Amino acid sequence: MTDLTLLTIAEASSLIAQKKLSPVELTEACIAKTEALDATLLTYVTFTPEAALDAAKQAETEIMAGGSRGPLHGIPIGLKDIYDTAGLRTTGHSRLMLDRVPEEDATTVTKLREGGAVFTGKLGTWEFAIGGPSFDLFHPPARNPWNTECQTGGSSSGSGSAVAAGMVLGAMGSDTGGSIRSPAALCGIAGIKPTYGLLSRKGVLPLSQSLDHAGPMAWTSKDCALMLQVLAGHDPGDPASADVAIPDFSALMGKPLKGLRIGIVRHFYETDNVATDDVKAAIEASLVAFKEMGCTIKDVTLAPLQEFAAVNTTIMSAEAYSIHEPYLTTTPELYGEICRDRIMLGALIRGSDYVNAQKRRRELSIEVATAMADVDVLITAASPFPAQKIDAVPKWMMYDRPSITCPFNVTGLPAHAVCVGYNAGGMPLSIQIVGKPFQDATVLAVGDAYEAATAWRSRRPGIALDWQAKAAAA
Amino acid sequence: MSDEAVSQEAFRTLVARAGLKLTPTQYTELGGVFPKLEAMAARLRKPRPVSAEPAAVFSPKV
Repeated sequence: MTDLTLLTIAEASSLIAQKKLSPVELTEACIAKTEALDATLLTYVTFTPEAALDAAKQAETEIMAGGSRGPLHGIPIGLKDIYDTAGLRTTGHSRLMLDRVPEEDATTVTKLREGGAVFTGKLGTWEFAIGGPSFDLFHPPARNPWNTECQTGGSSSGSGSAVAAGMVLGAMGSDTGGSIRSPAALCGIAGIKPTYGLLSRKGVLPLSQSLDHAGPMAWTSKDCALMLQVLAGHDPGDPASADVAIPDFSALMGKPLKGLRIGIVRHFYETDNVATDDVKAAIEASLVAFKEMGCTIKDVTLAPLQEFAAVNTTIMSAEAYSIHEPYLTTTPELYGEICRDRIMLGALIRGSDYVNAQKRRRELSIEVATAMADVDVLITAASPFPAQKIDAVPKWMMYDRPSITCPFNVTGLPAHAVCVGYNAGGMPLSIQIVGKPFQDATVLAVGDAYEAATAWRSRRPGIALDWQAKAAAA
Repeated sequence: MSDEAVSQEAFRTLVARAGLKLTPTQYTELGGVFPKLEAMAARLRKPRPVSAEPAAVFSPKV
């Protein structure tokens, strides 16, 4: 029997368009899988199967009447619980906002809804997209479907886990220092932090407005492109929204990569934040695959990761504290310990240091743009290590190991995490593909070509495969 | 004073100025992390021309 939950968005969308797949059947399959697995994976803080089925039935009616809204019509999608949803609580995975019910959808939620997406509920996150994995919140942290003793990466933790397990076909994440790419990497899925300004952040609970990015997470690069097509667009309600023409994000897919110029940023993972041997070997193997596709590869040296991390952490901490100060000074007990302490440290950043960080940010952005002048994309590690045990994630790791993803929050460049294999323990390993401003279609096409040339997308976590038999036995 | 003592003095001053109410456990823990935050800030303090602008993420001209 075909497991519908293992379809990609592209596959399901094609079948739905041909009227060979019912959105209701697809949604029912995702609901059944969630009911079978979520006691273990803990991905949802608010699961809404009834509303999902209603939306799926509406989609089916519209499609049968010839009214397709596009590639996401009838596709089950999960939302990180920082995306406002009208009439449905948006908690930030925090007791502070446990009963907060927004009156309006986030702009991106509206776009997905208009595109016919079937929302399945609100997925867990590190508290307010910074505090986790935490065990003192109202809902425990999501588990990694490749090994449920391991963390998912964060902060879009439920999104990474749910997509990898096939509980949804796509999900929304957000990324301030790596919060889409880290869980994408550790859960073995695809996830793009788009160019800053490409996606509206209106209605998304902020962590650090000048670094926050909304973005999609899915099993493949192609699926990310399909989601981005629906999501992108100027929003006057977001002061950072860019008024740029929206390209066809799938247009470059299927075309040969021959002649593509890749810059490999080795020092990020060889000296600045030393990766494990399995990560380094997987990156080298991916470069061989790109060479075989006709790409040229040259080493590119940027400023040390520590420079980017200093900028990212200073800005993020100060901006996060400015957002949370009214609550941290009055009801700190409503926060989990990790979130509370990480954000409180931002109170100690001096104004001049915040401005210095913004000045250094400008310098680094220019330096990276200059370094990319004669390459089309950069490649580096998406995570220096595979997923660790969930109870062994250091609370202050951001100060001890400079983030390998944050340079592209600092610079605002599109950065896409793509799975490049698995280690001996079966845990996913990933790279980042980074493009120039608003060349999101290029990084997605590079990811798509790599996925097509390798077999990694044919492997799913065991828990995502044997769930039907276990559910039947139960 | 040693660097460590200076850092802890700065920590006490900044906590007081920010009006943070920390538990003894938090005070000890955040005080231990503060030098790392300070080291990051120190990395950003470099001589720049007075015309140096903060980021607008993308430079209009490279």
